[in-house]
Amino acid sequence: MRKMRALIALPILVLTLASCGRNEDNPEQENPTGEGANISFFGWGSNEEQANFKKLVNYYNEHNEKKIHVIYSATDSNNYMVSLSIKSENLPDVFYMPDYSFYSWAASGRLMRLDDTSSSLSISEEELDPIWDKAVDMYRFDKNSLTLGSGDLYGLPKDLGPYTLVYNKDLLEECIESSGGKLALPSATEPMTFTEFSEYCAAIQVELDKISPDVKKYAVSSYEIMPAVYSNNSDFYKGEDKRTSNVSDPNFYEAIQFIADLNLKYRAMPSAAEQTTTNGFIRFQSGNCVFTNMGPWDMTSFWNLDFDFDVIPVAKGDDKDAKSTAWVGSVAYCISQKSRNKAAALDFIKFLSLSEESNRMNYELGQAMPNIEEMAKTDFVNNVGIDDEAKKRPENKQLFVDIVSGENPEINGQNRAAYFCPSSTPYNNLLDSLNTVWTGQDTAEEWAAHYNATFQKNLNDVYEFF
Amino acid sequence: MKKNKIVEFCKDFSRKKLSLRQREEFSAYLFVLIPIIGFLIFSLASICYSFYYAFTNFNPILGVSKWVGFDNFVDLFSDPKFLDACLNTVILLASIPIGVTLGLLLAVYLKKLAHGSMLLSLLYYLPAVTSAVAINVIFNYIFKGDYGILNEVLGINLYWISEDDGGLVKLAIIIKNVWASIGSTMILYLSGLNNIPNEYYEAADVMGASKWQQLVNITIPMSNPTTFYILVTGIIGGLQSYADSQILAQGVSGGRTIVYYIWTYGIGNNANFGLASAASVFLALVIIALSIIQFSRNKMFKKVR
Amino acid sequence: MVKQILENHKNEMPSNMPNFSRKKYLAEKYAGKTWFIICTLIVVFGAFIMVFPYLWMFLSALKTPLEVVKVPMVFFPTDPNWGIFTEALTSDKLTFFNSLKNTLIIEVLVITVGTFFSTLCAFAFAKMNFRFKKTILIILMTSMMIPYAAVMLPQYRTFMDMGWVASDNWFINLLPLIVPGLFGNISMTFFLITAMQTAINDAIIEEAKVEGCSWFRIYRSIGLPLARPAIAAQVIFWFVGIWNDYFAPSIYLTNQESRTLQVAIQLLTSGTDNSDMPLLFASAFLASIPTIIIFILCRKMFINMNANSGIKG
Repeated sequence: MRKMRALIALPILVLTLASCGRNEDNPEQENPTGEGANISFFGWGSNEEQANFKKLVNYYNEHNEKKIHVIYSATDSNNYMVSLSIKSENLPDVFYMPDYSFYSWAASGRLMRLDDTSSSLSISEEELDPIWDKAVDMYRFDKNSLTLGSGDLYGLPKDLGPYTLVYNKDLLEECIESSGGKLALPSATEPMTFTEFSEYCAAIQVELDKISPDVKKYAVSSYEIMPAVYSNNSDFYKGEDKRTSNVSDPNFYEAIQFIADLNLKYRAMPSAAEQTTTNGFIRFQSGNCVFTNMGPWDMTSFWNLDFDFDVIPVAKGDDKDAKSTAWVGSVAYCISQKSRNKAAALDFIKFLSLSEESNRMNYELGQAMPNIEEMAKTDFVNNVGIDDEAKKRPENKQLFVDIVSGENPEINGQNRAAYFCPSSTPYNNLLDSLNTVWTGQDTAEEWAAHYNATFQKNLNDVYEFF
Repeated sequence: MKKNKIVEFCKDFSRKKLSLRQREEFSAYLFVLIPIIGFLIFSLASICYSFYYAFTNFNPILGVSKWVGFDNFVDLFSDPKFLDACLNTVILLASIPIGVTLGLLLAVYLKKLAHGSMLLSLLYYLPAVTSAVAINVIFNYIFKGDYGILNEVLGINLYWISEDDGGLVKLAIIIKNVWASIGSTMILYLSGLNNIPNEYYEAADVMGASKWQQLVNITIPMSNPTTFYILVTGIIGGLQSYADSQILAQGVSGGRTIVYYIWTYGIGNNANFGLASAASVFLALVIIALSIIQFSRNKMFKKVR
Repeated sequence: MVKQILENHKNEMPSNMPNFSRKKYLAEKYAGKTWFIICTLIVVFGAFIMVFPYLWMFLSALKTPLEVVKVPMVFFPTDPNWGIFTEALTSDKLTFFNSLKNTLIIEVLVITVGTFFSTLCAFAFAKMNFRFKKTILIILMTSMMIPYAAVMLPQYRTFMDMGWVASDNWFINLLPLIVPGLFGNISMTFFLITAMQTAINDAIIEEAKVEGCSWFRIYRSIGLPLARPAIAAQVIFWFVGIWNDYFAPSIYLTNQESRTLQVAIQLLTSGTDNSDMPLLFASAFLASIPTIIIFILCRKMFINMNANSGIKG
């Protein structure tokens, strides 16, 4: 009987305990000093990234009088946006904001404005000066005109990631040898045209089938849609406010057809089904393809590869005025408008995003290209501070810089399509609908003719609140 | 006054002045009280909220929540993605009857077995104790297209998980679910088989009934309550599956379930909680309707007066 | 008193019928029957299929990250990395023992308290008479049928308002996963109602009632022991269910100090590369050991209980 009584008492005990521990702080009260502040942080990342993040936090605490204690650790990226929107009324102090979600969050008023000079808490223009303009402007949003790229600043870039083509040098050299010198290594600076790239891949494929008759190897693992569209003088949306579908643009669907043909016509790329089953990353890692895609954040994993690799610009359209344009992805650090530790949080994200130490650590760890323009152009490209030969790869780091800076007339970079839109749904649905093109059931032109209206409808839907 | 009455009743109760009938009733209410409270707090209150959200354009990011009537439901049923998800979810339920049949046969066999049943039942139960995340990752390797384990073993080259052939994705998920559920089904049947008196079988033996006849005429009818339980909980669980679509099927359209739709297209992409709530309320109504049909045909419920 | 009653009724229990010699019975039954051998072969082959993914998980834990995803696949690791298990136990990525502690706290509180209320409730529905019984049962069953997706957001907001989410205190963060379970598990109740209806003889209860036993005593001394096999099976289910649950925990437990084993394991899938796959498999393997032990312990209870269970025809 006594046992039973204890069992009944337990939940009551637990409930009492819980109510005692309740946080009774006044939510509006600002912690003025930020001294010893507990910053709650929310983000995602692989374990390596988390470990590196901890290193940054430790460095910060060693060198600052104000100590930061990070409460949250990261969660899995799939559930991140779900969790963040569930938590939207109780946001952590600092959190990641991927570029493709920035629009609706910036419009919601839940993010703290970072450059409000009338407030004591703000970032000055001088502090932002050394940073890539592209990276800073990405997180500006004008609430009145609902335009991205200008207006108030709501986030500081964690990184700026150009995504370009990478090739397995060892495998490609084998192909060149087997071809008897008919093939050559691709140029590191001169982008190929769509036709050149397709034919180049087809030629590689012939050699690959000779070299490896048992294990199927492909010239290219997969091809991104955005760089193909951007590099063919086209875009997903048109109009000043980017609210109109541009799918029916011939340049748009020709770019799609170029990708489909890599598989259907040239047989140099795995089918969509094969791509789902083994993604490009794993295919590349296993040495089973020559080309795949790479961003600076992949450097850590690629350093462990047992073959040599290098990056080249993405292919450009056959038109004369087409320009090789890769997509540039990014994630920002944002601060909650309701945060009680704004001073400490701002100081902390300034360190993470703008400081030399943090940026240097990021590239030395193979995580990102520096946010500081000067550092990217000199130290990053010249591998300053990196002794290990394997960690100096890829050799052509200048390309990452060129994509972002736009200083090379042949090469450019552009934001991801979903960035320009309050929701990634239209873009994701578009990707889903392309399956008939990949299988050859429809040509890209036929697809565009019937999908244009659907895409427009999806766009109209997401602008319901704006 | 009312308070006094309650005090009186309690005093009567402790002095055993109440009739047996009253005592029984009072005790019974006490016994069921805690789960009822739990239901009121955690289920009823929450589902009411969700029901309300289903009729609004609730978006917690933007902080809007306006009454929109049946708009969400109209959106839902005009979205081919949602209709596909419904169909997929229903087809994936096929793993339940297969799992039930195999589980029952296995339990019958293990009960007859004198030695080694401990090891065998443990082996069959292993899938149930393994982390769902790890299982899904492993099955992803098993059903891989290029040199996947299953393809290698069978000497075929099928793309199980791909956009092209939705049917195969479903088959892969069904196989995995049968694999994962046999162990639990077997255990429930094993504990249920204990309740079948041995003399039934002895009598049947004397009358010369074959093993098959004994299975059909004694074991299966006598295991009805267990079967009913497995079916009800299996359908309820099956209608809510998510990890299969996310990790095993990698979000391929043929493997998307209703709950996957709710997370990915409702909450995940757009924080469209109105739509997500509408979908989940719809799912709840379907589950309740199905369960009522099942319950109304069941003996257990008739026994409960 | 209750013992006496059980004693009196012993003779009515079929399990006390003259026992056939089990071995002799089996020998007669299967002598020369080839189908039994066929069945055994099928079951053993099936067992191999059942174990294969588990075995593969174990072997993959010993591989290098590249070997795990290598095409064509490698079955046996070329150079088994046994240190991976030590790494899983000590790595900062998992904080294995801390996560294990959190999992166990949830398990112990929820299973002990929740099972008590669930069995009590099931007993009332199975063996007692009261008004509105069917209505109450239908209401309770409904709560089992409501999908988690439909209650998750309001529940999250409620717990958030109570300060149970993202608290600085690791234990308070666990409360959203503990408190609902304390009120019992309807699915368990549902199973036990039928089990108790068949397993407990009405006559015993009638007699106990006449003797003046309190209902709680009838539940404790007659209901619980007689339904033990079914309860054991359900406890295993619930235990394993909580142990392997990762969806709700991954939303509530974002703090490293409060996360459960499955949340820690799930985090290992988050990287774009596969460098953590061996660690994931190693930790999943280690995490399955406690549940296997529980299974072995409880299995005896629900399979070898023939002799003790009262059976009504």
